[in-house]
Amino acid sequence: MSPVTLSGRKGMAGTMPYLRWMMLAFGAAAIFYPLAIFLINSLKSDSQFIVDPLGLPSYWAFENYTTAWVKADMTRLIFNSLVVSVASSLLAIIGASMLAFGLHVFRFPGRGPLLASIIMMLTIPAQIYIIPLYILVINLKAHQHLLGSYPALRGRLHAAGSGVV
Amino acid sequence: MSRSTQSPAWARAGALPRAPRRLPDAVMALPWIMPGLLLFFVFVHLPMLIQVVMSFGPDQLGKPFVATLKNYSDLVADRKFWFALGHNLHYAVASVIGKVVLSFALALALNGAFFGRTFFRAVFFLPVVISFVAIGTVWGFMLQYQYGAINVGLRSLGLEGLAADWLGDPRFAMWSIIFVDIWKWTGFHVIIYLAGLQALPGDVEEAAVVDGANAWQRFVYITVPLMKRYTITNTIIATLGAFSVFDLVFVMTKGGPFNATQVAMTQVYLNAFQFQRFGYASAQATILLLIMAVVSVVLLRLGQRAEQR
Repeated sequence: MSPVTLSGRKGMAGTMPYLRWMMLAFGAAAIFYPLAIFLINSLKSDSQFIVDPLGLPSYWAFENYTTAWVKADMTRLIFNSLVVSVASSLLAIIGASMLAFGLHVFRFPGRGPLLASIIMMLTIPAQIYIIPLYILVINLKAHQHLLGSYPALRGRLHAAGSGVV
Repeated sequence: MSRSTQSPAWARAGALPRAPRRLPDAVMALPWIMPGLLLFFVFVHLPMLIQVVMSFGPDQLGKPFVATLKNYSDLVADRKFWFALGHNLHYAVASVIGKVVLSFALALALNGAFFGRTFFRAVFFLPVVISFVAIGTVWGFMLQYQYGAINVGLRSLGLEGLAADWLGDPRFAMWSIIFVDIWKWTGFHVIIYLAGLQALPGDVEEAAVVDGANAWQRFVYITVPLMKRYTITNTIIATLGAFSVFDLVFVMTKGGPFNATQVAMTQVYLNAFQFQRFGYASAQATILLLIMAVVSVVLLRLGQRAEQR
């Protein structure tokens, strides 16, 4: 493990063990509570939710899930998400790992600026230049399903890009 | 990396022990870097360039391109945009302070060996991986006036007076979104601080113990200064996030109530996709980009100066 740290041997663990536990327990509760409430409410009927938004369901309405699945055509949606994430991950992993290899192994003029521009781009969120992307997409409607994967691709590029660095 | 002057790694490693005549590196590298570079170029560099060009062009799409500064002169006079940018500033200050303080405290608590460490580290990272839309929906429900868990809880405790329309009241809406943003991103900043804490040199700490420094003194005079660079990294990331915030605002309030949560990016969205003023929206986004660049450079410089001292 790491060298001696503040809370390792002395510090927090030694002087205030309860503070750590209280903080962590409180934090974990703050994270789990909204998610748990949401999950529980997803298993209540509409009327029961209105009467008692916080309690446990007296009747577990699992049919909410089948209804939602059918109504929102979840099969299709999940399939779309799968296509987008698989395609974009593959593309980004292949592209970024090759780029990383090329940048690491070979020395060539312009390598430094190239690396710098990649790092710089990582700090700029995609929203900032969403307009040209949008126009790009409408102009290439024929390839809509391909370009639709863009946001996810961008996220993967980010992740992969940090791998390059 | 400091090996740029030597022969390339593959040659030193002996992959090609006696290559008689090899192609220049630039040519050899080309097939490796091209695919990734193309992706970056098409999806990052090119759109950014187009956006800057568009910001000097006509407002509507399809009109002939004439370079003017009209979009920028409009922008200077656009009070809504500067008002929204003010919200970004509010968002940045509050969320950066919240995230940095909270994540530092949590990182200290999560550091070192104790029972349940892996579990708690995973828990605090959980909101980071949940999508903004899902989080916006969950918290939208939590903060809802009539059936929301927070208000129902307050009422059941007899604190009816504290129940508020968290997302529908202009006084609270922005704070509610900031709170949810802190909730989501603190785990991410915890990871950065944890990495820093693991790299903390133990000998300084030990020397301080020998010198008789108590826990608080060690914290203030050793841990906090040594963690400065991580604090700066976290501050930059959180600040850039605050200036480009869109998804959470859009899911939770769409800029309302009464424009109380309009931020720069919701303005860009409105102008581009509702009013079809693409040129103008490009100018707004370009200005935002400039602001973010300036802010991050200033923060970096401040950090460097602080480190030299």
